[in-house]
Amino acid sequence: MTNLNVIEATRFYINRMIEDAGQSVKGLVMDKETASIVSMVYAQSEILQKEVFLFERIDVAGQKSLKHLTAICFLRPTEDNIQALVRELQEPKYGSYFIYFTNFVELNDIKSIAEADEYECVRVIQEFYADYVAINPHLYSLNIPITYENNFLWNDQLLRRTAQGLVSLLLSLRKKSATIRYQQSSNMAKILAERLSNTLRRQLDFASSNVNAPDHTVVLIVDRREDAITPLLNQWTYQAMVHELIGIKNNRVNLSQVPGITKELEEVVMNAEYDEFYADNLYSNFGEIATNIKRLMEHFQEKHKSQSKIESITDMKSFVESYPQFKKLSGTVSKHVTIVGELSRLVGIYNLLDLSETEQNLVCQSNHSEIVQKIKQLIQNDKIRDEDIVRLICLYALRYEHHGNNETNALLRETLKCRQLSEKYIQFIQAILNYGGRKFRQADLFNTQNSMAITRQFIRGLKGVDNVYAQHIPLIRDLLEQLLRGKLKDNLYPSVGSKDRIQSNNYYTTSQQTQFQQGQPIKYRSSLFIIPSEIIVYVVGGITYEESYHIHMMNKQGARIVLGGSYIHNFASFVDEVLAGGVPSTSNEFFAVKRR
Amino acid sequence: MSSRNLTSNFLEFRNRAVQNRTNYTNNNKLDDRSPLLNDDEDNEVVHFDRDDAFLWMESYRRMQSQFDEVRNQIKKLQQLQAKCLTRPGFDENDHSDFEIRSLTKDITSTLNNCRLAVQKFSSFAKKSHANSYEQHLVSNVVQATINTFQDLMLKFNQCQSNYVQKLQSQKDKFDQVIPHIAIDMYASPFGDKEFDQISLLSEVQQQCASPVDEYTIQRDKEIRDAYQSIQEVNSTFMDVSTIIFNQKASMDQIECVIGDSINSIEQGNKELVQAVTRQQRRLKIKLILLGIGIFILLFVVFISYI
Repeated sequence: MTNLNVIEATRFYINRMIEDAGQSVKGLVMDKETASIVSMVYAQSEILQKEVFLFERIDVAGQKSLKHLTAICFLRPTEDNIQALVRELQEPKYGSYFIYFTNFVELNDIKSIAEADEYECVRVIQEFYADYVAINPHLYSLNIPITYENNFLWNDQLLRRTAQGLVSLLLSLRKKSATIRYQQSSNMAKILAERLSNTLRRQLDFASSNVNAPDHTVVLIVDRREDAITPLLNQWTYQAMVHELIGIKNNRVNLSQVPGITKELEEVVMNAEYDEFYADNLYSNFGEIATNIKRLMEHFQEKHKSQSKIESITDMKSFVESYPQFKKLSGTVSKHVTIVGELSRLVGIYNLLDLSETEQNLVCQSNHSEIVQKIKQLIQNDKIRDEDIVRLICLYALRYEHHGNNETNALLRETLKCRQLSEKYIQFIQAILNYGGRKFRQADLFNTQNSMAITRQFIRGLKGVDNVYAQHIPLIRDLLEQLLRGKLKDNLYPSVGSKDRIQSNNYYTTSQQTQFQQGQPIKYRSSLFIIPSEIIVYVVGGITYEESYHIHMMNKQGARIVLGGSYIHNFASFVDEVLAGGVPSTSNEFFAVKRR
Repeated sequence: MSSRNLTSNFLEFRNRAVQNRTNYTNNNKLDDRSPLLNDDEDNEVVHFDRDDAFLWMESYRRMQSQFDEVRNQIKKLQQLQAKCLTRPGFDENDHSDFEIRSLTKDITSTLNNCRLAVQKFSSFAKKSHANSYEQHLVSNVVQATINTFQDLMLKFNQCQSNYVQKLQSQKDKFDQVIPHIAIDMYASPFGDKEFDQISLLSEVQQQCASPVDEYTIQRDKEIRDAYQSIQEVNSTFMDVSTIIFNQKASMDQIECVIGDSINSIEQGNKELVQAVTRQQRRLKIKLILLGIGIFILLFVVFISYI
């Protein structure tokens, strides 16, 4: 069984491109999106070793000539890129061209390129399906910050881009056949699932890789709106915390706002493939990171002492030998010490520990009056940021949406008395119920709707929690656990028929057919449904690093799951995503609160 | 790995396009008025007389082949060292020792040549180039070459220090196992006191160098050792200079490099546009001044005529 590692899959394609171009000095020509795709999996220093010495964008006009170079063009098959390629080939800059598209390209476009290639510079045109951004081995994204349009409809271009991304993911992981299941309550998930299924069926005939046994791989398409809670919570694992408090974009962290930062550290790269400390501590919590940073510092100080002792020629030689490693360690230490220092500072000045505990209790416990008191206390506290108050109000609104003593209005009034919330935040509070309220979602997000869930919650409460800051378990984990046990309900998550699979509604065993003929009610056996060996998840509307952490833990226990979404959200980007779906214009008291 | 090769479709389309172009050209009559040489020729296309690019590529290829040679030599050295360590024999050692020494000498001289070539190459990179792409390209090539050279140097140094350490530990173990036995050269092997010590002594005396000669030999040895130490210090400092050269503060991410180069190209474009605007403005001012001058002249002529 192939390894489900999206980073390896992308690197494999890039290595192959470079090998195909042969032993010549090469230049890599990309577009804006493929530049991100390549940057995430390959460091510049590593690719320089493979004789790829120039990197440029196809959409940036370059007038000069580099005939002694071979161009490796790695592009998405968009109209703009095809036009740019045609212009390039009409006046070729490079000596020869090896062209690779990240997805299916129409024959008409091939024809246009061929007609433009008067100088016969093109050697190869291939499709290499690396049309997504690989973040961690089990995590990918399509870098689409806003998926929803007004009234939560698909934009045609985004739908096509998403379907292309998923097709390329399946092909890069060598899956040609899979069962596609989607969230029934989400129209967007359904449309995407059908589009994906049609595309796979249409394009299947050309692929030459081995066909997997049917029902082995399940592609699960869900909607972010089903779980609006997770992006609203503050995080305490390293990767998630950095993204939430500072922001990670394509593995780059902008530290220019950190007081007293040196020029060198204004922007740093956080890539687990090249940074051992980061790889080991991606999923460590804040307390563990502090201990590990201390250990790293001690290790660095030891090395520093040995480097300072230069008395003989032997010492000098050993200094020179170990200096590059020492320099690398020094860079790593300064980067992580700066980041952890900044996180610590932000936790202190914004009182995040107290806030996070309140958030977790709000979501996972049921003490309504206590939580309202606590929120009111935090509203009065000047140290707490406006955005954190907005988080609390939204969490409260979602948690106690149909509670008899719902105090969302009161809390909002209280907030507006003491703070000047921006228009954006007010609209966000208005929009959140429309986005992820009970009217839309089908899942029991708070374990309050059926007796099993209530019992489970009660038992959890009796057992107590290991960590008050990590009580919340995202919905995606529950769904995947159900899927792995074959208990994900077909009426809530139906499947789109794939090539070798007939509709599940007609899929009965012989004994059940006999039962049906005899007029007896049929009970679905959970083992009748697919127990997948591999699961590929796509979340319309984006995912979070908290969900990535849970998937990582499941994979450590033997599951084979790849998680992805349109974007990796933190609170700031999630606000934009929610507002893109539209702000409802109702006239009840909740929306008519006077602003200060 | 899933992929689809469209090269055959592409070649078919291209051949068809070529045929169509050829047919179209043949159908048109040759126009006698069309010039023999085309004035619109792109001046930026590299001509044979502009061989800067080929020069540095040539140097780059030469360095790569030297690096490959060094790699092979280091591999051979490691094999010899392993052989020496695992099968110590009195006669064999001499021969292996000699090979190791000569190979080490060869590698050191090749690395010195590589170092000079790298330094020359990096000074070439600092010169201005035809265009910004060429500049970026050459600086990336230099960076990659320095990294490769540094890695090779480190590998060689580590190989040597590991060998010395292993030899030392072998010697220590040997000394622990077999204690040092003092041998009396002048004692008779048969314990016979009437052993001809006198003749032996005289032979030994003749064979021994005089104190003055001994001093000269000692001095030569020490001078040689000092010279070797100075050479080692010199090579160590050269290595440090290579490492320091490589210490640019730059982000090791392709997207950032592209972003930086796009920014510098855009900056360059903006400045070009500004320069063109300023030039046009200056031309306008000149024309206006010229016009005023001509007007004044005409006025003066007109007045004088009146």
